[in-house]
Formats: sequence, C-alpha cells, structure tokens
Amino acid sequence: MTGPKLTDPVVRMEGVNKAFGANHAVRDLDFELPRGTVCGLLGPNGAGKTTAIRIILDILGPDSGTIAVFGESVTPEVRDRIGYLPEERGMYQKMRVAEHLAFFGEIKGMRHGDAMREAGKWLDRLGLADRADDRVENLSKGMQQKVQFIATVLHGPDLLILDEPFSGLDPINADLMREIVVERKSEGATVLFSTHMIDDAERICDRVCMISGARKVLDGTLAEVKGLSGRQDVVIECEGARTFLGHETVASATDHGRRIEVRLREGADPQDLLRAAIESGTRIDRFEIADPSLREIFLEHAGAR
Amino acid sequence: MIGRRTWTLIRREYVQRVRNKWFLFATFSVPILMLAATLLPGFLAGRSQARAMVLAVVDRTHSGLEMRLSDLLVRDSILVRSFQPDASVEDLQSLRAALGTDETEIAVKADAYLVIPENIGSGGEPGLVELRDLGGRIRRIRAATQDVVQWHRLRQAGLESVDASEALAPVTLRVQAFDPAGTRSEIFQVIGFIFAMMLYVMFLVYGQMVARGVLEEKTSDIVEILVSSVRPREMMLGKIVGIGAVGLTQVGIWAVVGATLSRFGLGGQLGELIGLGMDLAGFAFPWSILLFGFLYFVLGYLMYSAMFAGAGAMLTSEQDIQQVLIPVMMPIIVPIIIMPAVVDAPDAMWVQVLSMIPVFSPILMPVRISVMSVPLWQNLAAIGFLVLAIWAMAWVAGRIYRVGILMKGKPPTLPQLARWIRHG
Repeated sequence: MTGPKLTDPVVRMEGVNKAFGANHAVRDLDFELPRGTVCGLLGPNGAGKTTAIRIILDILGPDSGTIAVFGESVTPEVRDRIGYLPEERGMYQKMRVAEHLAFFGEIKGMRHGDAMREAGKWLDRLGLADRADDRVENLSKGMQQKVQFIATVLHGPDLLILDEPFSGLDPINADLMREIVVERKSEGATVLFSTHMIDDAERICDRVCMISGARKVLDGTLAEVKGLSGRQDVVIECEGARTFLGHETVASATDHGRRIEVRLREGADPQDLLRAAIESGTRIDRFEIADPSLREIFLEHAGAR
Repeated sequence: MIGRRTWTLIRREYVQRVRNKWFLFATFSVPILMLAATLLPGFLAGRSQARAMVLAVVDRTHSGLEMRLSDLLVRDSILVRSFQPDASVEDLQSLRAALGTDETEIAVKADAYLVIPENIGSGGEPGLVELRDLGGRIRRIRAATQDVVQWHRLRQAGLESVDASEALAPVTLRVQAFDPAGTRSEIFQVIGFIFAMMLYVMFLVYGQMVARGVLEEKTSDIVEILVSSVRPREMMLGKIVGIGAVGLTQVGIWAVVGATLSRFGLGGQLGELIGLGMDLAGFAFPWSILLFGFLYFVLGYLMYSAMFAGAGAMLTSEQDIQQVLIPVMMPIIVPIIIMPAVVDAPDAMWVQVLSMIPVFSPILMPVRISVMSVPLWQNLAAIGFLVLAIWAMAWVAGRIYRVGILMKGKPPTLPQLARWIRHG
C-alpha cells in the first residue's frame, strides 16, 4: 500500500451535508471508521443511514463536506477494495449462479478465472455447490440471499459496507452471515453495517454510530457509548432484609422478590453499595453491574427527537 | 478508452442476450420470412390462376370488341364470353334491370357483366355490373376496357385494325443520365425504401431494447450494486455497445442468409412482391451504398440508443414507458412519414437540409444515397454533424443517466430534466 498510511481511518467524513430539495438527509456528519473494526450504523428508519452509505461509496455526491476512503477520494481502485451489499438487492434473474458471481467479481477488477474459482469456493462453503449452474430465478429466497452475500465478499474487500444485511434473513442464514462478517474482520477487513436491529449491533460491533433525524447523536466504542449514558444499573439477588436499599448510592430500586433491580445515582460507585449490603448481614447470591442495553440507549436518543 | 470493467459489462449484455431463446427465435424467423417472401408470391400467383373468373360482355357495337378484350384479359385468368340479351339492354341501367328480373334468361353464367353501348364512339359510356367482388382484377378490366374503346374509336376514325393496335402499343421511355456514372435505375427507389424501413425497424427495436434493459436493471434493484462498482457512464456504454453488438450479430446473420438466397436467384421475386414487376435477379448491388448504409446504421444506432438509454433511466415502471419513449421515437418516425416525398424529390432543398440534420440523417441519407448520387461533401457533412451530435447526446444522456438511475417515482418533468442535465 502506498500513499495513505495504515493508521489512517478507513473512512473519514468531515462536515458532510446532503439534502434532497427541502429534505435534509444528512446534516453536518463527521465520522471516522478505524481500521479493523466492526461498526454498526444505527438509527430509526429514514434517519439518513442509507444516504450516508451512498455518500461514502460516491454513489451520491455530498452538497458539502469531504469524504476519504483508505485516505483518498473514491477512485475506481478504491471501489475495488469495497464490498457493498445494498438494502435493496437485485440480481440478474436469468443468469446462472456461478457466472452471476463471476460478473460481480469482474466488475470489481478480478480476472474471470479467479472470479470463477472464488465463486466455486464460496458456493461450496455455503452449501450451494450443486446450484452453480442453475439460473438465479430458480433459487429459493434464502439461497438468493446467500448468493448476494457471496457477491459482496467474493473479491476479498478490505472494507465491507452492508446496508441492513440481516433483515429478511432466516435465523440460520443470519448466523452464517454474522459468522462471515466476524471472520472477515479477523482477516483484517473493516466492516460498516447499518441496522435498526439493535441486538445485531450489540452482538458483533466494536463501535456504533447512531444517526437520528439526519444528525449523528452517538459515536464511539460500545463501552464508550454505554458509559456516555451516565447510568449504572445493578442487579442483586439476595436473601434477608433489604435495609441496604436505603443506602445513599441508590437512586431507585425495583424489588421483584428474589431479584432486585437497582439504579445508582450518577457518579456512585457500585462497590460502596456491595459493601453496605454485606455489612447489613444480608446473604448476597448475586451482585451484577448491568450495562444499560444498547436498545435503551437507542430508544432514548431516537425518542428524544 | 473502454476499460476492463466496461468490457465485462458489454460481455455480460451480449452473452445473456444472444443466448436467450427469443434472440434465436427472432434471428432465425426473419430469414424464414425472407425465404417465404421470395417463394410465396410465385406460389400464390399459381393458386390465383386456378381460380379463373368469367366476364360476360354485351357488345352493342358489334365490332368484335369482346375478342380484343379476351386477348387482353386472358393473361389475368379472366375469361371473356359474349352475351347477347334482348335489345333493351344497352347501358348500365338497363343491364342492371335485366339482370335483376327473373324473366330475363341469362344465357351466360358470369362473375361480372360488361356492357359497351353502340354510341361508345360518340360519348357513350361502358358499364360493369359485379355479381361477385372482383377485388384487384377490376383494375385489369378497367385498363382493358379503356384499350378496346380507344381501339374502336380509332377504327371508326378510319384506321385499319392492325394500325389501331399499333397506335395503342405501350411506349417505353428509356432514361439515361448524361453522366453514365450518375445513372440510377428505378430499382434504386425500391432499394432506398426497403433500406429506410430496415433502418427504421432496427433503430426502434434495438433502441427500445436499450431503454428496457436500463429500466429492467432499475426495477430489479441491480443498479445500486452496479453504481457502487462502475461509473454510470460505463454502465451506459456497456448497455449500448453490448446491445449494438447483438444487433450487428443479428444483421450479420440476415445478411449472410440474404446473400445466399439471392445467389440462388431467389431474390428475383422480391421486386415482384412489391408489385413493381422489376427483376432484381442478376442486378449488381453497389458496395458504396452498403458501406455508407452500414456507417449510418452504426452511427445512427449510437445516437438513438443514447437517447433511449437516457429515456430508460428516467423510468421507474413499465406503465410510463410509452409516455417517455414516444418523444424519443419521433425523430425516427418522421423520416418514414416523409419518405415518399423524399424518394420523389431526393434533391429538393428541404430534403437536402433535413438529410444533414443529425436526428434525421441516419435514415434520410441512406435513402438519398440509394436514389441519387449525393455530393460527397453533403455525405461527409452529415457524418460529421452526426458524430458531433453523438458526442453531445452521450454527454446529455450520461448526465440524465447518472441522476435518473437511482431515481424512483414518476418520470421527471421537463424543468426537472433540465436540472438533471445541468447538475448531473
């Protein structure tokens, strides 16, 4: 690799704006995607995720702002290093599976022979080897989804951009795709995927970026984002008196009988509560610091708009 | 200039279309039609001869006119019989009346009855009653009647029968240009016309193929993956060149079949098919016409298909296709509408001007080249303008394509379109 440095973020957006007529789709977006991370682009429907992705890919030009991918503007060579799975996935229904895959490999700069070989490998791995010569239209929906996914990763891209990759997949295929995403990451690829399914993000993301109403509302590692919420919850299971719940660190508590959910005051140390509980003579079976779930943070920010 | 990605697009377009069974069907059904067109007229002519018709003639001049009529009409399988009803039948009205009444015994069973009144030499008019629809043969009867009446009048004026026949013998006007190289036989008018029709059909068929191909990629949501990998310009080029190659393949196959057929003399009946009775067999086709025709075909295709590609990019659904395509088809249709006038006067000033305007020249110029010898400068000017127009059209269509390809919903209005072109 020449020119751009390895330490450069894979994607960098600065002050990006895009409007369609009077409708602002993306407003003042700054965003950096460090190398080797899996980043979830979150936000409710219509928040501007797809527009942001299209701008990164240079499918749409921004009204203002700059975009760099691998440290440079999006040239054909840069495009070849990106694998993109759009939300609306089309296929040439009349083409045969293997040649369909080879075609998409070739427009990413692969040679025909290499593309065919890679297509064969992937079809083999995803259990579609015997369908290589079938027409796409004869595949089931689930199989078509696999083929679309293969077309995205076939050329070994350094950056994967997936728009709602797991929506509409059955659980088995969804797991398979997640597995491939994680595997690509371990091989050094960087992944950006948009989703409104928070559980997906929580499961495989290192980072999240949340967009709501065309603006970025959160951005950072999972831990940072959760820390930012300034909330701490503790789950306690205990036998005996609950007098310790009057401790100064406790903001509120919900007693479910055996299980108690406690929300701490801002800045409070959970260790203080644990000490107080033990000193009160209660038998503690479980004391767990529970992160606020990403779902709650998501709803908080999306709902605040 | 054409990169590897574009070649990939072109190859996909070409291979997928050529392998399609409809392509095979269309490609091989046209030669079969050509063959049928060459063989069928002879076959049909043979059939129609078997169905002769009878014309009964009431000749009140009593000068043997039905004999001459018979000589003239026997070629067309019209058998002439003499008919002698009672003396009351002397014109159209009385013939009608006589045929309508039961009491009149019709001596001759016939498909039609012709009466030639006694005063035919001094202003009398012949009349014909059809019992059965005679179709096209009425023209033959009319011409033959004209002939015999004139022959009768000449004889009344004092000419011998033979001299009267000679006076009526057909006259052939031999035409020759002073400069032998500039000679154009009338066959070329037919050729020009056929040429124009072929170009017209091919521009429309392949142009619409381009528009539909673009629309198909839009409706199947495949464009989004494509535009993330290749430039819209490359996509458009891939579509146009790929389908153009399909067109050339098809035309090439037809040309080979056509040449083979005419080699075996089967093309000789094409002229007759058109009803001009010209014999095309053994007629040498000038290569310059083919060469220029091919050039205008390729250039015309490039220009029209760029227009069709832009139009296709404006579309989101099949429903709007006519609305958008008709304006694009207009420049192709107009030359066909004015074609008879062009063939009649290929040298008129307005034809010269129109044939150099790029949107019309791909059809009009080949026709003019066929019909007359067009000055070389006009030819080169038309080609020059056409190349410029292709360049401009590709630029405009490319911009429309770039914006339109990701657009959904109704086709743009004209002001919107102007914005697309400005900002594309």
